[in-house]
Amino acid sequence: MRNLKRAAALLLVLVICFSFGACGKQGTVQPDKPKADTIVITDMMGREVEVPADTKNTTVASTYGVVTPFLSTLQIPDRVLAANFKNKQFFRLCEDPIINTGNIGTTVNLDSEALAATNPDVYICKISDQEKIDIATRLGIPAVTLSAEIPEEVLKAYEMLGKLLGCEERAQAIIDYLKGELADIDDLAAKIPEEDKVTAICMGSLLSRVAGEDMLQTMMIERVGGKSVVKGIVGEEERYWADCGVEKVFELDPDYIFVTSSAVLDYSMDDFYTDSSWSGMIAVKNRDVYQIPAKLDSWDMPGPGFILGMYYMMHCMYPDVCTAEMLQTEVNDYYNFFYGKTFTGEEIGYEF
Amino acid sequence: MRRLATNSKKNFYAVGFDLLLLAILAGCIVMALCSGKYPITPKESLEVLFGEVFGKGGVYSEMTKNVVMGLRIPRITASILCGVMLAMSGVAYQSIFKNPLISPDFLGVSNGACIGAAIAILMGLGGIYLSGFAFLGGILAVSITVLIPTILKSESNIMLVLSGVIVGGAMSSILGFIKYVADPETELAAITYWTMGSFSYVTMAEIKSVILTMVIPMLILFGMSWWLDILSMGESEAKSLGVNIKLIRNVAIACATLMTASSVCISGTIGWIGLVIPHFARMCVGPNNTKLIPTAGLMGGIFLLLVDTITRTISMAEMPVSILTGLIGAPFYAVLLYRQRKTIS
Amino acid sequence: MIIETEKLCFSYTKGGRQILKDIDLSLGEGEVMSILGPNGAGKSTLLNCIATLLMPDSGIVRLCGKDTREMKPKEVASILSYVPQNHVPAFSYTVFNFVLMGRAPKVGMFERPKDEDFEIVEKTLEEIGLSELKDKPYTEISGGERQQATIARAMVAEPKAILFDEPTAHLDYGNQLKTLRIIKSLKEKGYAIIITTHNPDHAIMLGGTTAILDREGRLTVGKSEEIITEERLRQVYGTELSLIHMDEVDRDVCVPPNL
Repeated sequence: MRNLKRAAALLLVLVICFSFGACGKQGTVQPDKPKADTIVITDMMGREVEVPADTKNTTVASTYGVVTPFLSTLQIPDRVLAANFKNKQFFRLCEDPIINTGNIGTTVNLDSEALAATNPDVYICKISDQEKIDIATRLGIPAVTLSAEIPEEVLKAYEMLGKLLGCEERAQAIIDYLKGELADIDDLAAKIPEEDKVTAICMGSLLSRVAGEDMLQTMMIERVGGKSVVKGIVGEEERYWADCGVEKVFELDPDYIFVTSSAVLDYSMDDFYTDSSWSGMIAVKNRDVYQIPAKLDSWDMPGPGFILGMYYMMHCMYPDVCTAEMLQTEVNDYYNFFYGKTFTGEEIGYEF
Repeated sequence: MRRLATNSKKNFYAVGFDLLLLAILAGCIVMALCSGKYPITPKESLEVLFGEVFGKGGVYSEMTKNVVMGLRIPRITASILCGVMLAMSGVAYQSIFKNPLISPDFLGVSNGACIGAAIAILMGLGGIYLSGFAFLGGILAVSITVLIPTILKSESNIMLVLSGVIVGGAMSSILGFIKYVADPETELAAITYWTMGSFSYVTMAEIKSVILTMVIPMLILFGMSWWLDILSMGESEAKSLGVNIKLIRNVAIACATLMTASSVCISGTIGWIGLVIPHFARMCVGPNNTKLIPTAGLMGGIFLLLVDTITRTISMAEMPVSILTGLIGAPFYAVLLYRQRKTIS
Repeated sequence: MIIETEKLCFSYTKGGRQILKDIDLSLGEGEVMSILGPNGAGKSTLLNCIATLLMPDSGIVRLCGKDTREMKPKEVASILSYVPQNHVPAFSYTVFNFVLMGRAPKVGMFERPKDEDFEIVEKTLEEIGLSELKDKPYTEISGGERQQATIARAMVAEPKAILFDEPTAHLDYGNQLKTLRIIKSLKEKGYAIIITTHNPDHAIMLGGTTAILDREGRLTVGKSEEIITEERLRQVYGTELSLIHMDEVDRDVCVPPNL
């Protein structure tokens, strides 16, 4: 008898556990919104995603910080329900209403409950983030993935977002602008004689960490006429920083050292000049160590800002080809085009 | 016969206590169903539950259904199951090694299972292989832990605990190495997930893939619970009572390890439950494994469900469950030790 | 014969000191044997060999005429119960549940004790006078009560023989006598009993046979009153001891000299 009772209690637990997993007949589901027509778009992993056809009213939420400048520059603040900011200060300066949107987590952690409560038409996350895609799918929210690690992807991302959010015109204008700028940069770079070309690297958040050969920063150096010395050095992760060690950096000994603005540094810029172990390097001897601006709006982060980073690098390496005045004009032009106003060096932290 | 009656009366209380726990668990499930950032009333949650599971009708919105069935039910199921598994295997290990100071984590089983799972991920295996490798890793870890005191010819409880510390340390180093060689794009995140202890992304499919390796050893352990009492008297005592000690011990270790490994497979390593819950349950119903195993299981389920519900409600970015189990478990354990200071010398 | 050994030899390490050498003993129903011997002679080892907890190097142990090498632990346990020296388990089982564990040889794997088992435990506890304590934790009762509980645990297996490893160790005088009385009553019930002890008086009081295990591993067996002589006691304990007949109790008592 006592065994029986006990077994019955145990069975009850099991039944409870199992019955939750089992799927029986369903109740009446009342849709939140009337079932709308859908269109299919291809996201940046090549997934085909069904999204609302009424693109002009599509609302969007994202946990991926890289997406925020894209959404901001596409000028659809009312339809951004949640976003993740790497630096809110800049958007505050822009007086962009996007800073008032909600938050449903970070690039690493998606708050699935908050996503459900926000209930956007589309959720945007980083490519290959299968777990987040899965959560959104379970909630019945289409997940679109985005990547903007290299210039070509930035252009593609604008094209995709234009289609997704019904702002193709603005997206096309941005693409045209960026393409024009890239063409200008190529023209300028072509003017640099081969014998004048200098070598450069871009340092990451640690003194032992450099941008690998497949990273945006290395591509920027090469595109503006610099010679990359990181051939064969790649990060553990594709298009990610390579931890090659300080001694390797000494061995590479480039003419110019750039330091990223997209991460919090584990060292200060003065260390290059005060730490005697660095004093033997050409770039240090010539005082050619530069941190890429700007403090509030990174010019070497995945996103449209890479254009300014390129002009800045070109100015540092070839001041005759890209003068300070030209650079200032480009900076003003860029902010005017994307955010409708200009910023001084003091405001967002750049100087040249 | 009069005394027999009092004995079965005691038994009745134990069953009553389990039923009470079951009721608390049911209450916690309903509470967990309606807590979270997406607002759902108890009525709605039950309506969805009955509508989707039993086909009893009810009208609810699509998002409510998705949140309940897609997010909360898998999490609730997973956290209860893992709590039950960890607490029960904790009871079993403590009896097998006649040592109230050990738990699946202290024996290195959790870390071993973690390594097994990580190796399976490295080899690109999934599904049943994942639990299989996790089990092998766990068994390997517990075997080494048990072997060290045998080699050193010491049967003391402290030696077993120290040996667990050694194995646990070695295991976490190996785990660090595996993480180091893993492909960060595709594998690292998955491996890190095991070590963190989280129910954030658990799916029903994952639960279904380990449900058998959870329930079958649980039933076996439950069936042999009286023999665990005898095992806990020590090897020579058990042998003199005519017990086939090797068989019972090995079956019990295999079951407990399989249960721990299965729970690691869906949630990663979660500390403290296998240590604290058995103690608490023992305080409530006594040391008899027949009573202890179901009671500890229910308590473990309730505890982990509550902890997981708290983690997903209070924090913006969800924190790993282990943080809370540690924060609650450690002081709680200290109080238990204080109250039991006379019996543990 | 219930217990029989034939040329039993044992040593803990290969080629090491022989603890037991060609031990022959036999014990029938209702017989009691007290094993005397100096510290470290191997009295407990001998009990462990008989209980098949240790494997002898050579020689045979027979229980009810059956070679123990061909018996399962369960079969052995259903003939022979073992009362080990006092020890405190890791978990505080109640006296009732502790005694219930003695029923293990009668319970199948993956099964639990049934009502019948509970009744036997109840009856035995009453017999031995522990009924009042049955719901108390085993870890919280006195040493004497614990010894009685362990004896009860040996009894519930309904064996033919019970082995006691120094049942009077760590007990006060009263409890020593109480334990001896229980052993005597068990003998009268027909159990075959072997005890190890350090006190020659206990052997004399229990009567039956006495066996003296010397440091060479040899066993001398005989009727208690015949085997316990001043000469032998001096050899065993390495000191002068007198055996004096006391008329008040009508038996020999062992008296140590002045210090």
